Amino acid sequence: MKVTFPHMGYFHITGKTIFEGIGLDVIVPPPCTKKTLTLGTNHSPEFACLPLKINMGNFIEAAQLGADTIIMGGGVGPCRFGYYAEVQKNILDELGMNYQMIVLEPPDVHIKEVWEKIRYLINTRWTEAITAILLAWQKTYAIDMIEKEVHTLRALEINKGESDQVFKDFIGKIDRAKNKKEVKEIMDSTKKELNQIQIYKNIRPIKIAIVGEIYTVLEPFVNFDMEVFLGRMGVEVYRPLFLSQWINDHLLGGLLPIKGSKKAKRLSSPYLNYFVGGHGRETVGHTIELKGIVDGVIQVAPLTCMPEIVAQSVLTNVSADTGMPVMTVYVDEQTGKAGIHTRIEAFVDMVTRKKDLIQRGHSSNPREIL
Amino acid sequence: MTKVGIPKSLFYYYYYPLWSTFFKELCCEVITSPNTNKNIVNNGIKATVDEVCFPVKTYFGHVHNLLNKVDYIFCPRIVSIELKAFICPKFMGLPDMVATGFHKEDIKILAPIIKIDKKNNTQKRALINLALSMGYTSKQADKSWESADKTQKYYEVLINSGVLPTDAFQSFESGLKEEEVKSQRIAVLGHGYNLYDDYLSMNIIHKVNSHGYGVITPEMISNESIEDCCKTLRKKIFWTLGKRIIGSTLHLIQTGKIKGVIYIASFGCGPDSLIGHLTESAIRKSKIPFMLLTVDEHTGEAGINTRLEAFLDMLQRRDAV
Repeated sequence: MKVTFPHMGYFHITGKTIFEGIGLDVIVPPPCTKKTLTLGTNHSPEFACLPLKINMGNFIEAAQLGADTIIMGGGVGPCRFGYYAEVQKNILDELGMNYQMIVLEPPDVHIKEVWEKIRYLINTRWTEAITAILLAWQKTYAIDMIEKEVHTLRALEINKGESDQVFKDFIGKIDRAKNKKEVKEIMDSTKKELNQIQIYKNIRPIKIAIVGEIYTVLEPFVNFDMEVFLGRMGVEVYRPLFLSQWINDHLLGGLLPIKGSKKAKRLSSPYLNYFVGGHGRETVGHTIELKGIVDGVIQVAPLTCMPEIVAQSVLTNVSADTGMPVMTVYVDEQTGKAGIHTRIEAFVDMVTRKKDLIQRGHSSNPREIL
Repeated sequence: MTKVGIPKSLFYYYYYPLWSTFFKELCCEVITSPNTNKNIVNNGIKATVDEVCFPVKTYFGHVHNLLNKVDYIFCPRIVSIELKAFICPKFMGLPDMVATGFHKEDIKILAPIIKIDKKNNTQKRALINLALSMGYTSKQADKSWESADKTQKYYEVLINSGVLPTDAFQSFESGLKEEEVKSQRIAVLGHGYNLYDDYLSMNIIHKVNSHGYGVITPEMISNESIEDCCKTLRKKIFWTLGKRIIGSTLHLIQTGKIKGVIYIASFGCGPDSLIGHLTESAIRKSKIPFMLLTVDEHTGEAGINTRLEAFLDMLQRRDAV
């Protein structure tokens, strides 16, 4: 059994660590590229959302490397993601690919269903499995911590691209780390390297938050490296969504004391008073929560994403009431990099101008300025 | 007398008899918006963000039409109408979206949460609580519910026997008109609010009828057959309407009573994008002709007509060969 799984940002490091740790042969799909997208789009329903198509591309490319089992997430609605695995399996069968698909999702009838899947997957002793899961968590958390620092550094560094290089090396090293001690050493040395990067000391960069649907937020390939692009423009990126935080909120039930999305969900009322699946409530809540902390918010989502459309609808009012500029970016296989970058530049110009006016004592309400 | 507006869109086609009777029994005046027309659609488009699907845009148009005519707009938050299944995230956020689409002073929304869960939370409880919060006594509310429930059940029997919802609504006023039963039938699948709204579906049902074919829609298939057919699926479908579509498809393939299948999907509809695919792949194995029509506000009627005519011609040629 050679297992594979879909890409999502740096999830492949977490996934690989866990699955190798429980004694499976892991084939990480090649990084998402134009080819992945084309392969996926060719074999997916036309109006399915983008993550489904890229997953398909990942699976097909992994099959070429010899993978025969997919480990995939699932769900019970109302977001489309819950039905991804079923549709993907259907297509893969039609293509004549002999893939076995193991879907990890909340049970329909009894918890036993999940239990049996996990029992089937684990090929080592329980102690080893638990060590692997802990190590995966430590790696995920380390990546998120370092990435947070890089978000700030990109905007300030004198030689653009320096922090990205350090981050890239760090990802490679952390992927190879064998135990907790190594993770800690890598993290410490990376922090040192980041501290040595020369920065402009007297700049107060504008801050822009990226919120929205988790896949499009975390996967640089589909959002056209939005974070790096903003960083190189001298914008500090603030991202409320991290993989470690998602794992803590959804898989560990908020067990660990790291900042989750509970508060954001609470804040989303009165604009959005009910859960709408996906990250709809979080998107609205984070926008409200970040008032006064960031200067603007960019919402990213796949085209036709249902929860994010609901969020986008109410965000117009949130934006009017809080004075927070909000821009929504939808991505799909037709989206052009230049178009997105032009829109982001225009948005950043607008936010910069607004901040400048406020600092010179004008009203924060854009209508009054005009 | 309190005036309650019910937009003629979305779940109007499923629950209008229930909702209208309920409010009428409470001595409210029930006002519905007119049939969907260009004007309504245009107003809807103006009040929503671009990415929303066409039926929801149309809904906003209907709300806009009712704004100055009524005291309240009845816009329930429909989370689920059966256990462990939803309609669509947009229905769960609909009252919030409607509230942001219009000025606060203009609009008062009645938004009971309709949600079925293990605690026996039903539409009954939602509506009775709504009536209580509007100042009616529980006796009045109970009585209204009884009567509303009766009308709704009668309506559902009518629909199950093959009457179109629009004809059924008319029958409440003018009695049921007799229609000749056509021997050859085509299944027209899709979400009810697309199929039965003549503007959204480009009048497809009547067009098919006028070519001499009868029409079967998912609502005409009994719940039991749908549930039975859905049991054969690997994974339970968690969208009620999507489940009905797949269940109907499988049922119709089994019974073999249809000449062809036309699927009407909204552009950008989440469930349709996956259910449409699964339906198509199920039908492909059965050799029944299938056509998928995607509609939105840019769809031209001439284009739809051409495709429909080509499809029907093809059906005839298959018979001849």
